[in-house]
Amino acid sequence: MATSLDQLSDDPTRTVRDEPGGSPRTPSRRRRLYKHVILIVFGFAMLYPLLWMLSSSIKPSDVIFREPSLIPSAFDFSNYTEGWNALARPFHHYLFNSLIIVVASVIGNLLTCSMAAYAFARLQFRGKKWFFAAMLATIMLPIHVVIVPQYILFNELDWINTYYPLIVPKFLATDAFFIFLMVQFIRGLPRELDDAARIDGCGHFRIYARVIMPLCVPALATTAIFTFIWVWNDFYSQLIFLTDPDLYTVPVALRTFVDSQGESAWGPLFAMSIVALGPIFGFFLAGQRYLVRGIATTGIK
Amino acid sequence: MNGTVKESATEQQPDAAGNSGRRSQRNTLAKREGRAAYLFLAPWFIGMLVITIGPILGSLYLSFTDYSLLQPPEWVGLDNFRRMLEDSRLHSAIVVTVTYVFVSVPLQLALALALAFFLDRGVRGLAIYRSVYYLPSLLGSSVAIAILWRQIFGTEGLINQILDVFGIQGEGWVSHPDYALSTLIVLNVWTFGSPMVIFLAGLRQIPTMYYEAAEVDGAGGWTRFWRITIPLLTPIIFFNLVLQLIGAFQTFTQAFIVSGGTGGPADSTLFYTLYVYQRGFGSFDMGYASALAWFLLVVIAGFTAINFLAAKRWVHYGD
Amino acid sequence: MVHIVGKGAARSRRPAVVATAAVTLLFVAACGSDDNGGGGDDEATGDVSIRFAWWGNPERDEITNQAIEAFEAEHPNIDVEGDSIDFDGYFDRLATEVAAGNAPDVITLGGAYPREYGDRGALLDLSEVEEHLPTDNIDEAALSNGFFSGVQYSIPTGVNTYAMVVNPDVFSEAGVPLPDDETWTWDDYVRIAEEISANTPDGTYGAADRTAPDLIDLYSRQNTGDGLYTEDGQIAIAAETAAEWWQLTTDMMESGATPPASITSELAGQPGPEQTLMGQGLAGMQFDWSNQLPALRSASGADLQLMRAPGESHGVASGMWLQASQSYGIYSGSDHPEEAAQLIDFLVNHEEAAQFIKADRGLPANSEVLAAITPELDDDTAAQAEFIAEVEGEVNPDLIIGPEGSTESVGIVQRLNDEVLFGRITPEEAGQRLVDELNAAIS
Repeated sequence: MATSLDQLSDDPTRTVRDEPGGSPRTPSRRRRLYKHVILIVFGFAMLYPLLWMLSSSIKPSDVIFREPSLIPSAFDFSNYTEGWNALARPFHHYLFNSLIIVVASVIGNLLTCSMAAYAFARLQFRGKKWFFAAMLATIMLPIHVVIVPQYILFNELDWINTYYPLIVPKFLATDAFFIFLMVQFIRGLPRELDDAARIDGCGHFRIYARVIMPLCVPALATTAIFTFIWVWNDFYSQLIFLTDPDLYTVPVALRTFVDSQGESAWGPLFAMSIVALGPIFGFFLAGQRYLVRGIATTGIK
Repeated sequence: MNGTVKESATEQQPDAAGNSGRRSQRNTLAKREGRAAYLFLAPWFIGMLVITIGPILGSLYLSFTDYSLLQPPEWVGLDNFRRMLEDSRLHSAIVVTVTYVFVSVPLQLALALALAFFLDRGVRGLAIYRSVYYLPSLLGSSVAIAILWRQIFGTEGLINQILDVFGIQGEGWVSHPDYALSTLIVLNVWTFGSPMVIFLAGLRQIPTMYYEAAEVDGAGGWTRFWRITIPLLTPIIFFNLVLQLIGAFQTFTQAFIVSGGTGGPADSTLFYTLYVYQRGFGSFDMGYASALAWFLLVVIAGFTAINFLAAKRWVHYGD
Repeated sequence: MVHIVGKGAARSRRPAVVATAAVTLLFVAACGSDDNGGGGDDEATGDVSIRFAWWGNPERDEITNQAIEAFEAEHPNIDVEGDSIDFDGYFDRLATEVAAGNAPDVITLGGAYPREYGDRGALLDLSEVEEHLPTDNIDEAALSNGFFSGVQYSIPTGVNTYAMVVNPDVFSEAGVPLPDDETWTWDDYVRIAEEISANTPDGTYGAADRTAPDLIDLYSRQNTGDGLYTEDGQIAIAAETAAEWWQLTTDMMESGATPPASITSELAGQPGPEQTLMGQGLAGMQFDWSNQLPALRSASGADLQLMRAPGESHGVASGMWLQASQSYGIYSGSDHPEEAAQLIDFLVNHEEAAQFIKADRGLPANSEVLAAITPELDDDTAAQAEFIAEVEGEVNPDLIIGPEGSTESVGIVQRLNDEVLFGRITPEEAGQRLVDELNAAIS
C-alpha cells in the first residue's frame, strides 16, 4: 500500500498546483490528454458489463449464447416490451414496490444512523465503548445464520408478506455500516465548531441539527446513495420475507425470469436488468452532486 | 477511538474521592450529556433489543444444537465446534478466505484511494468518469454477472480473445482451480466504486482553510499532501479498512454467483460464508452452520480489535 | 458506588432475558405450526385460503395461475394464493418457512427433496387425505418416487427420464452416422465421440461431460444392478464402479472426445440449459433430462433427438429409469390439508388443469390425463412423449431415492469430477472419496 501511495502522490499535488494557474501551457495540456486517454481506456473496462448487457438485451433470446459479439447482428427491442409484460404484473409494478422500500430506507437510515453517530462521535456516556463494539459486532455474522431466527421473529410479529421487516429496521438504526461511517466523518470535524455553538447556548439537538448535519453533507449523500443502491439490489431478505408475488420487488422479480431447470427468458432478463439499473444510476448521478465541499469546510467559522 | 476508549474507561471507575463542588457541577453536565446521548441512541437501542439481538442470540443458541431447520433443534453442547477441527472442507475454505482477504482488500483500497485522488479535482468531465467507474458496483448480484464473467474470463472469453491476438493460448480462468480465486479478486477490485465514493466524500470534508494556511506557510504540494490530506483522511481510510475487512471475510455473493453456489472448481472459491450457507441450507445442518458463523464472528472481531488498537498510532481525528 | 454497581448488575441481566426470549421463540416456532399458517380465512362463510408454492419461469407462472383460477371456479370456497420464484430461491425460502412453522400448504418438490422433507416430518402422510386425492391412474414408478418409510409423501406431477440427447446436425457435419440406441455400448459411445471431435471444427465436441449423481447412478445400475443407494438408505455403489466411470471420462477428455477440464468445469457452473454445450450447438451428445428437450432444441436451433443411454442392452440391468419430474406434497403443519389435497388432485388428475399445464412439469403421470392432452402437444413435447412411451417398458422400475442428506451428492460429485479432470486425484481415489463423502453426508 505504501508504494501505491508513493506513485499516486504527485497527482493531487500537481492538480492543486495546476488549478489556480490554469495557463494553457503545452506540457500541461499534453499531460491532460494522457490523463484522459488513461481514464477513457480504464473507463471502457468499467463500462464493458453495461455495454454487454445492453447488447444482449437487444438480441433475440436464442442467439444470446450462440453469438458472443458485442455488436448485435440485428436490433430487436422486443425483449423490452416482452420483459415488461412477462410477469404476473407489468414491470413498473415491481419498480414501484422497490421504490417504496428504498425511499423509506433512505429516510430511515439518514435520520436514525446520523443520530446514533452523533452520540457515538460527540457525546460522553456510560458504556459507550461497549455499545460501539456491540454495534460493530452485529455486522460480523453472516446473514444466512440469522435469517431463520429473524424470519421467526417477524412471523411472530405477523410481518411476513409486508414491507415492515425491510423498512422498520432502517428506522431503528440497524445499519451499523452507516453509523460507523458517520462517526468517522463527524470525528473528522474540528471540535471548535460545536464548542463555539455551545458557547452560543445551543443544546445537543441544535448542535446536531444546525452544526453537525450541514457539515456532513458528503457523508449523508454517501449514506443515501449506498442505502438506495444496496436496498435496491438486496435480493436475499426480500426473497425470504415477501412471498406474495404482488409484493415482489425488482431483484426478486428479475429472479423469476431464470429457470435453471428449463427455458429461461434471457433476453427479457437482460432488458429488465437494464431497466432496473436506471433508477440506481439516476440516483447515483443526482446524489454524487452532493459530494461537494460543505459550506464550513470552505470557509472558517 | 483512542480518546473515547480512555475516557469511558476512566468514567466507569467508581469515584473514590469526595465530591467537591466543581466536580458535582461537572457531574450534572455529564449526566445531562449522558441523557442526551441515550436519546440520540434511542432508535438504535430499540432496534438492538427488538430486532437485532434476538436473532443473533438465537443463532448463538443454535450453534450448540443439531438443527435441520425442519425439526426442532436438539442441544449437543460443543459437538459442532469439535467437528470443525476435523472438517477438511472448512480448512480449505479458511485458506481461500484468508488469501482473498489479504490480497483483495489492500488492492481494492489502493485503487479506490488512487482514483479518488485522481477524480477529486482538476480533470474535466470528472462527474462522468466517476459515474462510469462506479457502474460495476451498481450491478449487484444479478445472474447476469455469472454469464458476463464467463464472457470475460471464460475459455472463449474476452481476455483470451485479446491474448489470442498476441498468440498466447489462454486458460479457462474462471473454471481452473488455480486461477478461479484470482478472477474473483479481480471482480472485487473491479467494484472499487464504494470505497472510492467514501474516499471522495472524505476528501471533500477536509476544510480548505488548512490548505490555505499551508500555502501561506509556503508548503509545497508534496508537503501539503503528506501533512494535510493524508492525516485528515485517516479516519476515512481507517473506516474503509475496517469495513472492507469485515466485508471481505464475509464475501459471499460474488463467489455464489460465479460458481453457481458450489464454490467450485474443486472448492477453489469456497469462501467461508459460502460454506456456512451450503451447510445451513444445502445440507440442512443449521446448527453446524451457526457454529461456523460464530467462529467467524470471533475471528473478525479479533481482526477489528487489532485494527482499533493499531489505529491509535496512525488515525488522526479533528476532535 | 453501591448505586453504580447496582445499576450495572441490572443492566447485565437484561441481555440474559432477551436471550431467553429469543430461544423460547425458536422453540415455539419450531415445535409445530401455530394458527396463523393458513391466514386470511373468513370463518363466517367457511371460506378457506391455502398457499401453493412452486419454482419456475414466467411462462409456468402464467399457465399455473390459469389452472388455479379454474380450480377456484370449481371450488368457490377455496382461495389459492400462488407463490413462485426461481429454483435456488425457492428452497432457501421453503426451509426458512418450515423452520418458522409458516410453510405453504401445497409444496412443490423434486429429486430427493420429498425424502429430505418427508423423513424430517415436514410433509403430511397423504393417506390421511386419500379420499380427496386418488392415485389410481398415476404411473406406479413415478408414484414410488414419493413413497418412503412406508408413507406416501408426494404425488408426481409428471414423468421424466434421464437419457442421451443427440444433435443430428453435428453428426452429419462430422460424417458420423447416428448409432442404433437399442444396441450401442459404452465403447461405441466413446468411439463416436472421438470421431465427432476429430471431424468437426475446434470448439465442437463429440460429447459433453455431464458427470452427476444421476449419471453415475445409471452407470452403476447397468454394471452391478445397484445404483447409488440401497433401499434402507445406505450407500450401495462400490468405489470401483465409480472409479471405472471416472477412468472412462478422463480417457475421453484426454482423447479430445469431451472438452478439456476447464470447459467442463465452466459449464457446470452455468445457470441454464441454454449455456450447455448442447444448447450452444457445440456437442454431438449430452446426457440430460428428457424434459429439457424443448429448451435445448430452441437454444441450439437444431432438431435434437432423445436416445437410450449406451450399454442399456448389455448390462446386468437397465440403468435408465422413469422419475417424477416434480411432485406435490402437503405441509404437515397445514391447517387445511383437505383443501390442499383437492388442489393437488385437480392439478394432477383433472383434464381442466392439464389443458393449461400440459407437459410443463413433465409428461402427466396420470395416464388418462396424458391420453387427453396428447393430441394437443407441440412437436418438442410430442417427441419427448414418444421417447418415454418407447422406453417405458424396458427401463428399471426400482429407482431408489437417496436418504436424508443425499441432496448433497450433487456438490460432492461435481467437486470430485473437477479434481479428477484437473488431474489432482486419480479415478481410483475419486471413487473411494465418493463412497466416503456420500456416507458422511447421509450419516
